[in-house]
Amino acid sequence: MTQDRPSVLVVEDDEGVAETFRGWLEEEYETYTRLRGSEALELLEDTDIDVVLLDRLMPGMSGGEVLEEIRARNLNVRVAMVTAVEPGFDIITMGFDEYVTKPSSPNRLRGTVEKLVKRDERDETRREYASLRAKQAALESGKTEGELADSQRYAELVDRIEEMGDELGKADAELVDETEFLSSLREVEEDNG
Amino acid sequence: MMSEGKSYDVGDLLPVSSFDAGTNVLVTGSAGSGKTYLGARILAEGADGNEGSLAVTTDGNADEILELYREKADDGSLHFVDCTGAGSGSPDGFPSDRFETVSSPGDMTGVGVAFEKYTKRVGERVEGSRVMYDSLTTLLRYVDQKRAYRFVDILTGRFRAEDCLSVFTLDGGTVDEKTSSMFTHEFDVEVSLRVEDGTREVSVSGDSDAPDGWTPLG
Repeated sequence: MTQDRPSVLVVEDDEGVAETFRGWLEEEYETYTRLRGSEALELLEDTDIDVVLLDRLMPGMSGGEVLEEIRARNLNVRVAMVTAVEPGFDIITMGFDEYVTKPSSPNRLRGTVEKLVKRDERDETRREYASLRAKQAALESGKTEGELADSQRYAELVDRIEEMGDELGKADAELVDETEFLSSLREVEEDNG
Repeated sequence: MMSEGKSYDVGDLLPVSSFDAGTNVLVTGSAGSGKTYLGARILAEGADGNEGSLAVTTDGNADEILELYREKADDGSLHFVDCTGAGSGSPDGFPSDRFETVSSPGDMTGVGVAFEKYTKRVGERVEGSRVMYDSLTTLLRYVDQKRAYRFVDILTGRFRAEDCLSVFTLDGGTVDEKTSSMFTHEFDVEVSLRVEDGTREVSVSGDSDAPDGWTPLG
């Protein structure tokens, strides 16, 4: 983060949606919008961006392809897939950090960005753990119990989460969000401005 | 673990039958329009569904909330956070170990700590939690609008992360339109209450299943 404020890039082919998201975020974040995946990658090469909100379905490069390129280029950025697409088991192998279902709300979108900005400060193991938990949550909200039970990939995901939970110390892993929550409340109380 | 596709039934109280997990609801209306009644009854609707419920009161009306809850359900899964700082203790016949106290409505961290204690206590024994915060009107007497807004932003974010259903109440007549609108944007759904010819009526916005216009409050 080189600017005073964290920065967010909204990659969304619908200009109206992109501008709506900008309106929700720009008070707190340095906000950029790009309508095409290729334009987003150009900006990411030149600008220090903390969080990318990435539409999954776009003409030209899809959100998935942009995400693959972001990871292939080792760009240090947290990515939330923002999509109206019901999650399939293919999301398990995707390299996003959060999964947000459209239509979103100002609070939900800001909450996601805030979470990802803070996650940027954590070590890689905790980031991966949080990313796997986000995938688990997306699948559990989009699939039936039967579909989950029949999926080997979902079973492997759950096993991996449990392994990592043990590795991190489960209490420690679960306390991360709680700690952020209480710290944020303390900040509000102590802010006399 | 919460079951997939969790939703929170609200019975016949509203013109919608349920809310998705993670939904934050703002209930607005003037004094006497039924905000506390609605909040308490929404909590009670989850009693038979193996859900937990937490009532955060800034108004010292734990007795009223408990009475409204008990008219509908057994209070075995109900917990309280009393923010009045009055130290009057839990209502008669209500176990003190499910009754937390916070020093004042302005003790926002205290409310957060109480919520975390609640979640640790109920743990995985419950399949979802309903939280009522009654009321934002009182909070605004203790902290300025900006801090109240940030408090709500953080709290609703936490409730969403925990897949709770939350219900906050606000007397719309005590705040200006800008403040009311600012709070409304923090919530997924707004439930408006009014009294017309002696009948309590409700209108729901922000939920695609809700009909337009006013209907009697259930």
